[in-house]
Formats: sequence, C-alpha cells, structure tokens
Amino acid sequence: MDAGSLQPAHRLLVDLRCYPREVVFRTCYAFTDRCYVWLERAADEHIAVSLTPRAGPAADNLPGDFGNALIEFALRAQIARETASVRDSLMQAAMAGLGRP
Amino acid sequence: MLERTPDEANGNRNGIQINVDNKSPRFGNIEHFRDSGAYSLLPFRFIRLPDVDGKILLTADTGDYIFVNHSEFADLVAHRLRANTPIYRDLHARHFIVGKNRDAHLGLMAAQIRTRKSFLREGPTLHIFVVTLRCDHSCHYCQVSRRGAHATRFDMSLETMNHAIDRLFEAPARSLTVEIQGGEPALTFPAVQTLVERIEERNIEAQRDIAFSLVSTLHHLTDEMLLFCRHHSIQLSTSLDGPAFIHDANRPNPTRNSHARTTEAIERARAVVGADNVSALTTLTRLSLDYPEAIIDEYVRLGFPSIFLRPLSPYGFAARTARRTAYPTAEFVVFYRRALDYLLQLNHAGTAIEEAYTAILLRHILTPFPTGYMDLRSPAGAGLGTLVYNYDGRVYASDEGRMAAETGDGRFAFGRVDQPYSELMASEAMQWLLASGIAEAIPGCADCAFVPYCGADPIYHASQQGDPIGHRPTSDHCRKHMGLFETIFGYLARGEPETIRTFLAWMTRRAPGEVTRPGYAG
Repeated sequence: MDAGSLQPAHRLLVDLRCYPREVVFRTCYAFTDRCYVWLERAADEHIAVSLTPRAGPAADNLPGDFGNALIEFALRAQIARETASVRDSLMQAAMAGLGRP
Repeated sequence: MLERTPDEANGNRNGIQINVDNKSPRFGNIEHFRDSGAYSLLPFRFIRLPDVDGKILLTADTGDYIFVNHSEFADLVAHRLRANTPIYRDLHARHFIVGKNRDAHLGLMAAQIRTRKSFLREGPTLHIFVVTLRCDHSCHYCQVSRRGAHATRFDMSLETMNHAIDRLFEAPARSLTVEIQGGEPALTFPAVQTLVERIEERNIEAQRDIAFSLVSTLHHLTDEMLLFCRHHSIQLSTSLDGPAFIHDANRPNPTRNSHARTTEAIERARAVVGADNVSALTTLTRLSLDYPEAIIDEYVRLGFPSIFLRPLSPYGFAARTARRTAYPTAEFVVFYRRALDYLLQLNHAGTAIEEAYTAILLRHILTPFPTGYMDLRSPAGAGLGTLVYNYDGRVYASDEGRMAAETGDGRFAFGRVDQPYSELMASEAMQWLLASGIAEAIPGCADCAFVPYCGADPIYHASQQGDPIGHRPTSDHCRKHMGLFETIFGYLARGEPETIRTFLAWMTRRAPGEVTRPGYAG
C-alpha cells in the first residue's frame, strides 16, 4: 500500500537531519485527530509525510500548522533530553519517599 | 557550623564568630552563594492557549506553572536569561530552572511530587456497595442498567454483603468512604441498615475513619430512614438536573413528577439530617446544554452551595439513548464556559455557589495535595483508589467498570467478593489497569502541559476506543479536560482579582468573604 490510495492533500518532505524521527512521529500522532497520516522514506535522509484531512476539503493551513508543530515537538524533545537525568532523579526520590510513613 | 563565643573583642557579631581567614571557614565564601546566572533547565512542558494571546503556559512536574512571553521562552531554552531579573527569579522560584545549588531545590521538588502522589500509599479509599439494581425511575442516561422496582433478585444477598465487608476491612487505608448505591438503595433500606450497622460493629475493633454516603433519589426515604441516616452520619447525594422541564424530561418516573418529589424530598431530608449533609449533582443531556443559567438558578433557588456540572458518560443505558441525549464534547465545553462565566458573575454579585469540578481542578493546579476525586488521577484511580462490590458478588475497579460489565464488557472485573483482597488486587484486570493508568507514560499525555493536573482513564478508553491506552487526539476524555484546563488557565492568566478570589474560595472551601486577597495573579 502507498499513500497514493489515500489521495493526500499535502505531501511534506521532512529533513531527518533537522528533526529526529521521534519528533516526526510525535507530531504526526498529534495530527491524527484531523487527518490521516502516511509516512514514506524519501531520498537524502528525508521522510515524506502525506496528510489527508479526515473530513471535508483540505485545510489551507495544514502544512503550516504541521511545520510549526514540528518545531514545538523538537523543542519538547530538546527540553526532555536536557532534563532527563534530573527528572529520573526527582521521580526516584519522590517515589522512594512514598514508602516511608 | 556556627559557634557562639562571648568575646566581643574578637570581632564577634551578635555572639556568633565568623572566621574569614579561609583557612578554617565556618561558612563558605559568599561568592559560593552568589548566583552566576548559569542555570540548568528543570523538567517542564508547555502549551500555547487559544485564549491567551502572546503568552505560553509552562508547567513543571511539581505542578507549578508560569506564563511567559515568546522572547522570554526563547531566552529560557537558549540559556540566555540573565540572573536576578524578575523572570529569572520567578522561573527559579517555580522550579523551571536551577542554579548551582541544586540539592535543596531538588529535595523540595521531590517532596512536592511525592505529595501529589501520596494517595498511592493508601490503596483503595472509596468502597462502593451496589446494594440493588432496582429503581422506579427511567432516566434516559441511566448508567446503572436498572431493573424494575420489585425485581428483588437484583438485591445484594447477606452473604455477599458480609464478604464485601471483609474486603473493606482488608484494604489498608485508615480513612475509608463507604458509598451505598443502586438502583435506588431506599428500595432495600433494611439491607442498607444492616450494612452500616455491621461495618460500625467491625470498626469498633478496626478503628478506621469511616464516612458513609448514600446515593438516592430521596423519594422513598421515610422520616425513620432519614433519622437512621442522621444517627449514623450518612451523607445524602441526589440528582437534580435543573428546573422541572429539564429534570422531568431527563428523569421520568411513573407519576411524572420527579422534580417536584425531588425538591420536596430535599427539604424533608435537610430538615432531618441538616442541609450540609444533602448534596446534589446534575447530569447534562443535550436538552441541558441550552440552559446553563436556568440550571444554576435552580440550584441557587434551592440554596445549594455547590453545583457539579457533570457531562453525560457513555455507559449503561446512556449508550443506548445516545442519539437522543448525547452531544459532542466541544458543545459541553461551550456550555461549561458559559456556565462558569455565569457562576463567577453570581459570586461577584454576592451569591456564593461553587462549581464542584472546577474546584477539584483548581486544587490540582494550585496545590500539591491530592483530592479524593478518583476519576482524574495518575496512576488511575480505578482499582488503586476505588473498589466496587456489585449486588451479585462481583468486584470491579470502578463504577464505570461495573457499568461496562452490565452491557457485556467484563474486562474490569477483579473477581468475586469471597476472594481475598490480595487476590483481587493482583488480578489480571488490575495488572491491565496499572499498565495503562499512568498518564505521564501515555502517548499524547506525556507531552501535554496539563498532565500534572490530569489523569488517565483506562476504563473509559477501553470502553470507547477499544484499548485502555486509547488514542488521545480523538479522545473525548482528553478533549473535555483540555477544554476545561484551557478555560481555567485563561482566567488565571487574566488574573482578575475578583475571579481569583472566587477560585481561591472554591478551592479552599471558604466563603468568598473570607478570602481577602487574590494572591499571585498570572
């Protein structure tokens, strides 16, 4: 199967050198309420994201919204990476304390 | 670290010797404590709210929050903030950044997180006894899958009751709430009396703090039954969907006068058990959504200090009548905003009435303390916070799990009342709920700025979307709570003093006049 059978309204090429795969997946997940999403490997370390609105005509702002969302999810991933170890330490300390009266 | 010396000539200051020769310092060099401005980020999430222009909401794992503008946000994540600026100090105080002195900071944060999750120590505190499915009403949205008023085979047997009481006292929590539900429990009131008396008898030795509540239409509670409720401090909870034209349409009874009988029963109950011990909540149908002000006015007219604007849930008969009674979640959020606005106007004008769910959400946002509300917790309250003992002896993780079972979905049954508590809590259903009940680990929720205040609802998602983790982008549970949190944070961002005072009054269960200062705004 490929995206052609869905007749996507938009096909976006995302450079995996700019956005980690995890960021692309999270962004796609967030858009699954308003469109069907199909991913395909494309040339030169790109991934093709095909977006097909779930109902009605194609929304004009979908590519723009998706692009902005990629940036926000990339930022979330950056923050999560920077704070991962302290988050783990915090949770361990918090949960360990739960066992004490 | 500090030594007291009486020798003033040696440079004592207020009797405390401070050595500055750097050979044997009692204090570290003052430069050690000066903030250089270099900082590390602490874990946080962010969201842009549709009604808050130019600001981004940040939320920390502790539940602290702050609004920043775009340039402040860019500077924050690029580590460009300058020390001792107001925004730096605010972010530092609210656990979004930390300087070099991390240990005390992180210890405080761990304590806050531990407090938020402290309910985990207790195990199930809410124990629901479904003493009968019999009922004389025909509510369109009935979640219980009621039976006829004379169908006594749907009453809880004495043997089942005794086993359920054993399970109650096996639960480790010191404070327990026993909620007696139906159907209509008043139709089998001798069983209610037996249940309460046997629990109290067992508690002479067990010495727990036990609170009783009875969920009832109140129509069938005689004066003698009310006196029993008063004597045993039983809280009464009933349904009042609004003025007569809404209540009677939603909750038909054989005599077609449900509203009149309900309001009369409320007054009679108040006269015996006291107004503080009678509460009511709404269930909102499609008809209700056009009349938020009328519904609130009815609660004000009847003197209720609180109204719970509860949307329809998709269980039981409600699923069958959905075409007539249900509505998109977006419409509920519109209703809620209109209702909340009206409630705030009333409060500002001197009529003290809270919206109960808003009060719960405010406690989640503005305090680290867990509320007793099981349906919005992470880990989920089903099973961990609640056990339901059904009339037929089956034990469920929650009321919703029981309702799902009544319509054929038995995945949330833990077992039977004659099984030990330890077996019930180790059941396959419990394992399933635990694996899917931590919102911080669920796709969608993990990135959501509202996750410190929200909760997973695995039973809802299994029931509506086929698996307990569900699909957050299309989840009505998610859409509803996003709408509510966006609304509340919009008010917090605008920070109007009267609104904040009202929110604080609701959150702390005080009269608005007792909240003299709005506190921090924004």
